[in-house]
Amino acid sequence: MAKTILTVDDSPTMREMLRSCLTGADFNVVTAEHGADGLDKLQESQPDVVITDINMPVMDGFEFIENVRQSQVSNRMPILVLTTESHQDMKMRAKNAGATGWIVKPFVPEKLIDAINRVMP
Amino acid sequence: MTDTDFQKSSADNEFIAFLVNEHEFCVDIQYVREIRGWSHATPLPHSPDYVIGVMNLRGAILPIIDLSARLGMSASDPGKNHVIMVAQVGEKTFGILVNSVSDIVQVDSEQLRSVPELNSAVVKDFFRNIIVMEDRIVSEIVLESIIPEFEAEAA
Amino acid sequence: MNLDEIKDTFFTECAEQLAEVESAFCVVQIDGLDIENVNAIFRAVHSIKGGAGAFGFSDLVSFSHVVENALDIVRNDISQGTDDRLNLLARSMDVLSDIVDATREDGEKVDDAEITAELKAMFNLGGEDGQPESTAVEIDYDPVPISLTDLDLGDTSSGNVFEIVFEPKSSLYENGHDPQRILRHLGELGTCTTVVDDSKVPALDTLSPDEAFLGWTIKLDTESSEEDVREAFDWVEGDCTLSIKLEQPEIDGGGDIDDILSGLEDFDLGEDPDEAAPAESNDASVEDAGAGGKADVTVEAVVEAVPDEKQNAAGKPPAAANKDQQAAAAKKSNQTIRVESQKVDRLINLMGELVINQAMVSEQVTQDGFSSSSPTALLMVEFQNLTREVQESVMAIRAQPVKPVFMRMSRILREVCSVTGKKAALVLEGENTEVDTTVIEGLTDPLTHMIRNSIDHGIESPEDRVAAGKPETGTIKLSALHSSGRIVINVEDDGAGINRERVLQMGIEKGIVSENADLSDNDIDSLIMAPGFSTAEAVTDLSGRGVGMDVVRQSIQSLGGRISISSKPGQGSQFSMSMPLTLAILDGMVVRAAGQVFVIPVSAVLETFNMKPGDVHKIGNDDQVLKLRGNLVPIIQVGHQLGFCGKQDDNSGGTVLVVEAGNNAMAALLVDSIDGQRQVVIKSLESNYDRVPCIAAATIMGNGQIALILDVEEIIARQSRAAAESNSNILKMEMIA
Repeated sequence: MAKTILTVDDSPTMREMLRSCLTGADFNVVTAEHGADGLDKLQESQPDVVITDINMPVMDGFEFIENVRQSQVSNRMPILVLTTESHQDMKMRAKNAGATGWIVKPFVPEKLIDAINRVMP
Repeated sequence: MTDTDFQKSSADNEFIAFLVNEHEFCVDIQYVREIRGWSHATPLPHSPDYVIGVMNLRGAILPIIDLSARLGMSASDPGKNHVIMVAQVGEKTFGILVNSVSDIVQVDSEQLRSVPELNSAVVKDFFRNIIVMEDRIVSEIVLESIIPEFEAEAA
Repeated sequence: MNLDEIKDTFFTECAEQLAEVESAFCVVQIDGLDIENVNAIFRAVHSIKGGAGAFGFSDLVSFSHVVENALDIVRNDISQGTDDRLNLLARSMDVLSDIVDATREDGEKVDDAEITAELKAMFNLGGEDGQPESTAVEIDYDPVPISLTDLDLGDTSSGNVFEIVFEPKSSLYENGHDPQRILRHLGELGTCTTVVDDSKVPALDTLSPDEAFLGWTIKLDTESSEEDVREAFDWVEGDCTLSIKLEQPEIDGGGDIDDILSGLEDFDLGEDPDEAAPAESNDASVEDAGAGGKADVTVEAVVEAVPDEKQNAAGKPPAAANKDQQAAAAKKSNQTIRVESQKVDRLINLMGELVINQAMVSEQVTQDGFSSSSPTALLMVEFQNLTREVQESVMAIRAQPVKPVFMRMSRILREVCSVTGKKAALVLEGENTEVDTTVIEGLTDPLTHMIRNSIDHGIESPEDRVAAGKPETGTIKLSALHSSGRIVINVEDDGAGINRERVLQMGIEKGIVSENADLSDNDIDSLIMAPGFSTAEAVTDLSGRGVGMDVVRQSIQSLGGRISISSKPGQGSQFSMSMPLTLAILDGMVVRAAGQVFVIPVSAVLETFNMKPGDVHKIGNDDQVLKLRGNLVPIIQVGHQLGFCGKQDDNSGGTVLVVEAGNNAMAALLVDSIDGQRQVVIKSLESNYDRVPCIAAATIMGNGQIALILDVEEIIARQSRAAAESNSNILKMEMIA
């Protein structure tokens, strides 16, 4: 069965890019528009890997990851952070929040798939 | 229409033939959406004489063109004996008032003749091909040129 | 979805983001700077940059990067957001918007050099940060690890053997990592010999599934460099104890590498803060213990155990989960769905059919002689009410706040201000007032015109304002509100007001009014919207108002709206527009003339009455006027005006509708009878035909036939032109009055 990936990004463009890339690599893709939406979708779709943006309205990526890590069901879910912030402190903040790894935008599809495969259970 | 389907393979083009004031014309069938009976058309002010008015076609506003008047013949007095061919050219759908629809004809390419060089403006503008059949000759109407030319009216 | 479609999505998003930016800037302009709005602006620019990068739109990337850097400074310290800086940022957004447009249209490159320089200067974005970072972004884009070790070892064909000691901490699992993946990744680099260290696995009864007990020692024979090996662990830095040693160094660099490695170990955080976390589940599975109990298990066996450990850790009390859910639900409340506009349009069309059908059934019921108290008739009333309600709900789906259009005006304001050297601030009110999208689309042009006009001709120069005791910066207030089923939009400025003397003079020069006409102030103000008043000459000549207001009035009227003007010298002017909430449905007066049925928009009708013989006065040979409370109103015979019948001399017995067009031009439309008033669904004549003079649109009546909706404005204008040709100055005067 195809693996499911949840992408959390407020930008419709990024969501479509990701969807396009990931469905092309035979993943099921579920999208969410921000962290809070992501938490809902996480429960509904039970993804194998989550990819999240950091800078989002309503609930940002840090808060989203923290919430996932504190949740009952999905607390050990691999979560990749997709961010244009290449700064080390951004990565460290994400990591401290509980991110599994990060992908720097703009991403190259192969790198994205590589990154996912690195954490895919 | 279905009983003519078997001939299709031998024919390149299909036309709907119809009568306007006893004259037979035809149009390429791919433009024709439907054929319906006449019903009341609301006249439009300040419109060309060949535009009879507008009809309600399932909620759309359908302009009706009197083909007889358009071709320079006498204006029709539309009534129950007339039919409307609903045709679509580009984005616009409009109705053409004719006396009756007579036939669907399949025509091989060699039966199509180009319009002879004549002086008549009507012929030049409105006819594309002449179709020669065993017993008759039918002119193909260029629907694009039938629609009124829309010029921006100075406000 | 192909790339082009994603591009479309991107540009739609850009438009939305830029609207957000405008919106935030507007709030900032009025309420002052706050972190929330700066964040919103930052986020928007950031998103645009992200998407642009994905498509390789380098112009867009580099400029948005500069803007982003500038915004970052303000974001980090709000006191950095001085007025000058905010103005510059606002202008930058306009440039950004232009670059987005140019990118979308594949148009000419927007020259952003100047503003980029300004941004860099004002925000001290010198050096690296301020560079258009196409190079930096490319590095981000494709972080190919260029390994110096690789280069150094280029000649040697034999591989390295690394000894890797890898002991995950619990935080590694908590961050969603799985040692299996890391080990597999190492396996892809070369040949691994892996030994598991389970010495730390405690007895079953003390085993806490939240903690990490397993460690691995891996011997990796690989051609990869130490950096490549390290990369396998870059995401778990700090989440494990790691040592990587090169066992068979091929070059004399072993010592150095050891130094690096020991440094790496120093980097370890040592104590794992999470290790103290209490375990909340006691039911550790037997498998866990089994895995822990076996010595020298293969990698595969160990890996079996790890997911179990993960799953068992899920034993949190349900209350925690509930809390999560509640939080999520709270954040969900304001949810929207995206629907293709085509689907909504189809719904609205069907709704139109339903309204028509309902009217037809209703008519038939009456015709069939059901009394109004019969059950059938009562059911019909219910049906009618329901239809109306459904119709309103459907229309509400398409209703949108006027905000985006209002927001666009702030850019117009900035542009005109910078051209004219005037200072003005835009104040928005009621920008969340909703109106049908069709109306919104039609609003942009007239509003743009009016805002330009207000600054250009209303607001005085800063010096003049100060001299007049006014604040240097003028205010233009743009407001929207719902009023009796219509939307009212006001454009109000605190400028100089209309120069009536000048306007009157112009009006006389243009032959719009006669020299000795006695006009009220309001009449004179309204002159600026009279057809023929604005000319090219007026653009350069007129110091008052009036440029292009004729055009504004026309576009408002084409939306079924009316516009009025009021002005106080020295204090400013106010333009008030009232428009229907939708262009899909119209309240119409159904009339008959020349045997045809017509619909006249109720909004245009002032009053109706039956004509009596003494009401009509003849002027000259042809023209008839109606004396109405001291005013002379031209009579227009609808049937004749539309060319359906000849002119009738005897008008008595007819019915008159006194109608008014937006410029206060009045006329008495003479018809045979009035059938009643009803809502009609507006159908375009242009979709299959063309614009028809004097006709605004068509509708389908209860009997299925089409009725034409009259364009009152144009009917009056035609009559007025005809009258002008027959040289009746008095009549012209009355047209204006």
